[in-house]
Amino acid sequence: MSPSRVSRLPPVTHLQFLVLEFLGDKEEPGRAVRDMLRQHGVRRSTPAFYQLMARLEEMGLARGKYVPKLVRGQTVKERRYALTAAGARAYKATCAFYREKIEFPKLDSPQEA
Amino acid sequence: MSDSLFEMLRRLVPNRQRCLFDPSYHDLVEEHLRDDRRLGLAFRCRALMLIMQCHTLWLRDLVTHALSRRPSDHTAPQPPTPPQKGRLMHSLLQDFRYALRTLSKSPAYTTFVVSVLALGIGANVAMFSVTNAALLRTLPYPDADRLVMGRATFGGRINPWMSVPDFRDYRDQTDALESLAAIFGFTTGHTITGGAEPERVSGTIASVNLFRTLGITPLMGRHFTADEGEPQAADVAMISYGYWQRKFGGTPQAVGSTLIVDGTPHIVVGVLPAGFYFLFDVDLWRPLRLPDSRNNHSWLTVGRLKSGVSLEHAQSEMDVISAQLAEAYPTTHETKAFLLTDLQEALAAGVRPSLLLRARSSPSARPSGLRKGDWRASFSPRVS
Repeated sequence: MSPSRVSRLPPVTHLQFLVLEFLGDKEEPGRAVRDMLRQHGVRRSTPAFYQLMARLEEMGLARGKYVPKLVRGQTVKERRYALTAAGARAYKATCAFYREKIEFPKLDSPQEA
Repeated sequence: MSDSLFEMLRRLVPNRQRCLFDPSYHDLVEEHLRDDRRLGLAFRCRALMLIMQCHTLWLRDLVTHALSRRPSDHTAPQPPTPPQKGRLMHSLLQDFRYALRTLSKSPAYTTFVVSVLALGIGANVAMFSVTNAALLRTLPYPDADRLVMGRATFGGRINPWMSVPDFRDYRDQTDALESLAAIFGFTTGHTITGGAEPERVSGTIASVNLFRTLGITPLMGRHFTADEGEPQAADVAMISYGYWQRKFGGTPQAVGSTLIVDGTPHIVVGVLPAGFYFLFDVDLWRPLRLPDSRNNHSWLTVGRLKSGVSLEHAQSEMDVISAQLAEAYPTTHETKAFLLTDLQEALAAGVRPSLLLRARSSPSARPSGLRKGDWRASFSPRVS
């Protein structure tokens, strides 16, 4: 990619990028994604977190499904998420954008006296 | 249990937010099971909290998406659109959106401010309603400026209640008043039977000429006649518009029908117009026909001045009658007199000073009458 070319802004926010990066090529339960965000200092109520995930699904970047699982003898449903192809592309595009900025920094950055 | 509870709670969540509630609820169930806790009261409380959070998110979405065209922090940033209309309007809209965004970020502060505003607006509306009824609006009777309230005084202090014999003396001897009517100072409870089920209604007693004095024409039927004020006359009653609708379904056959009031048949002779009240909002009006003692003071009087007669002239005439009665009944009338006051002023007397203080900024404020229950405040024991 040419350093002189003006690249478009990443199609996702920091938070969404973090989720896409975490999902990678795995399928993760919502609880695990939320724990990961919490470790990054993101504190949200459960519905607010699932709102974030629902928007990712609406944008076609992630895919969610309910999987039944057994907890202490009782069946509960768990929402699991995985990246879609569009999600993987968005993740790569965002990485490329920042990589470009890191590899080709502007010369007029602050200079030490 | 959790499945039925889930279905029940799910109905409380807006459709669009169910995709947030469902996984949140399942997570909550899992968390409780993992911690080996029962899905009891604490669980239900937390589930309800989830619903509230869903509603909050729903409202925030509405505000953010409807009023700010910018996407929220979860969606990809878009370049701002240039202003299409005038710059001033665009700037105002921007300020408005900025204010909304700022407020939505501080829900507690916003709730507090909105509550204070709501309380303030509510209090002002209530205050204006009372002021409007008491000071600004005229009484809802024809030629209301000729209506006067007659109150008894004892040694110069107002005791508004009069006795029936006194009322009859003043009524029969006055020339300044077109008519003088009396109304019982309290409401009475009655049981109406004869229908499918017995019914409790409120009523009061008034002299046969009360409605004519006030200038009220019955919606249906007729006024009480003079004969119906005699002790041996048949029992009759007039009913309110509301009771006519409730009891008779608004049919014209109500007039002439019989109501069993406390076991005594009463013929309905008239239906009062919608919205009518005088001192009391009651359903049943019966004619005054009690032979009463001069010491039983339970009646209020209201009169209508003859056209062209001033209040002062009528008052001086009442003073003459009072002096004659004092001579005729020295034991009961030594200090008794009869004070006429403009009806609007009499009704508003008790609350007018405080209302005027609040309404002093309004130059159009002028004395008028109180409505409904506020009139009791006006009968403070002093001569105005």
